[in-house]
Amino acid sequence: MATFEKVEILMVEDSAADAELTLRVLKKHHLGNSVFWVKDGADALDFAFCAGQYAGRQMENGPRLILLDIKLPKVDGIEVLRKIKGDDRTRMIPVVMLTSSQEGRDIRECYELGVNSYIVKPVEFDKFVETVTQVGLYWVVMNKTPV
Amino acid sequence: MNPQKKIRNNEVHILIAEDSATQAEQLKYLLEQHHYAVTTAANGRLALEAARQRKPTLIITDIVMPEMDGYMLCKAVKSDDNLKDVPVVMVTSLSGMQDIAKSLECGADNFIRKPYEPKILLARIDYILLNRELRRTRQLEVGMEVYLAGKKHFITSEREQIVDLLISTYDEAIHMNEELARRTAQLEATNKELESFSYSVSHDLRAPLRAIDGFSRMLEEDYQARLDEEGRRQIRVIRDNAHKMGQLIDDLLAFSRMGRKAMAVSPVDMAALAAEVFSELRQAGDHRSVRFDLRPMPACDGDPVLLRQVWANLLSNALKFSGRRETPLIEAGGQSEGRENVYYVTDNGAGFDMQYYDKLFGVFQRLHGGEEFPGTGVGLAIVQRAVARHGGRVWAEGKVDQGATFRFALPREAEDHDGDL
Repeated sequence: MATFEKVEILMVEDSAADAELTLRVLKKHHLGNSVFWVKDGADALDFAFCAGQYAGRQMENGPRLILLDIKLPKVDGIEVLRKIKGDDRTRMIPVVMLTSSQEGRDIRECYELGVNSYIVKPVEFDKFVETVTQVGLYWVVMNKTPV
Repeated sequence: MNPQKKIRNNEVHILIAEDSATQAEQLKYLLEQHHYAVTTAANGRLALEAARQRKPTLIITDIVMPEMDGYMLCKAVKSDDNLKDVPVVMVTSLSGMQDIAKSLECGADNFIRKPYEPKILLARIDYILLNRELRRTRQLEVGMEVYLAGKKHFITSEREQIVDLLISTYDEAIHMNEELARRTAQLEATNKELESFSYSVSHDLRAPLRAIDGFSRMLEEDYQARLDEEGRRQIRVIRDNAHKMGQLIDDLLAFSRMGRKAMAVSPVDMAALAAEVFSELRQAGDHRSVRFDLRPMPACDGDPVLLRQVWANLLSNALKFSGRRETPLIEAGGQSEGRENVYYVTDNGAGFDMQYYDKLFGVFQRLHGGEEFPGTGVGLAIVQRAVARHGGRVWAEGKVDQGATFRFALPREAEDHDGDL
């Protein structure tokens, strides 16, 4: 069984290009070493709840932040959010939606489910860098959580 | 079709009064296919002559015809002792209450709505022929006065006739209702489809753009030492175009939202709204040298969000296209004209060639090169859509290098016009 080290950020992102861009930014700010990347919603839930292939993982080893896309294979981001915020073991973990969707109903639904932030990924790289930097620094470095 | 019916129909002679030769021919063809004997006449007078020569079983008449219209024909038939028992069917577009009143007045027996469907028309003829046997023609001694749509009408039709007419009208109304329900369902389905389409556009089209922009930037950063000036220029072209496409997607989505947004109508102080929008635009860009004249304009009833968008797009266009003048001049104002309020924005900018006027309000249509004046060509399409939602209209005048004036008219009593999309 695989062992898992402490994870700061769980990145749920099905686009390899977006994942690479996000990782690059996080690494620049020395936040990239403890990022764990999963590509679909089912895998994200297994990781968060230490189930399936992550059964050997300990809940107390994080993540301290979840970056969550909405449109994901298998289980979509809103469903992942619902499960994480609906379970006492995980609902304290800050979840930041990092998505292309600017649809009002998505934003509303995420807030209703208790999302901590809702960020629309900018198309321009410079703005994207700035946004991911702010999200990483705020939630991982500045923010204090009980987790 | 059974042979008995064939024989029966053969004994039925139908006279059609219709001034459109094509429509008369179509109707004749349809009826002949069902083995009715058919004669056509191009107006009421000719139809009356034909009826007097050979008494028809049934007359189907259009209303608007030269020389003698359908009402006059009907009245003439009903006051002719030899013809008065011939049922007269009015072909109407059911567009106003006057149709019913006038038809009752002239003693018409039945309505058929235009454009008719063959099945319904044939069923109606069957109904009339069946009932004809049951009806005794008996002229009422006294008539009845009816007020309809502000006019007094004197009706001498028989009870049975009135009932037939009512049934036929009701029948048409039910049919139109069913049709309406079907179309509404269709429209709702289309709307839903459109919504999911724009949703996936907003989501799916943006993601590849970010990769194009991000990776060309990474290329620039990571391979800086190996790229010469031309290499860097080419990367810039890639990135500029990625941005442009991002803007196009955003504008297109804004345009589609404009049509879907629910209208919330309230009184709007248009002068205050225009002033507010202009000062926001002025602050956002470098427009200190612009002279803005805000003239008086009437308030209106409308959706403040949509109207703000109208002012924002017209005023930002005026700023953009007058930006190269030494003293850019922009003026906005309006006045009440009849049942409308007409507003305008005028500038002394680049103007446009009226030759291409029909492209002005089209989506993604531009009359200026992107190098000269940047833009995606959605702004005026949004203006038109927002104004149309209010039941209003937009138009413009311009001359190359001599500025442009855009006007929009809003009805003084606002309502939501969904169908104008």
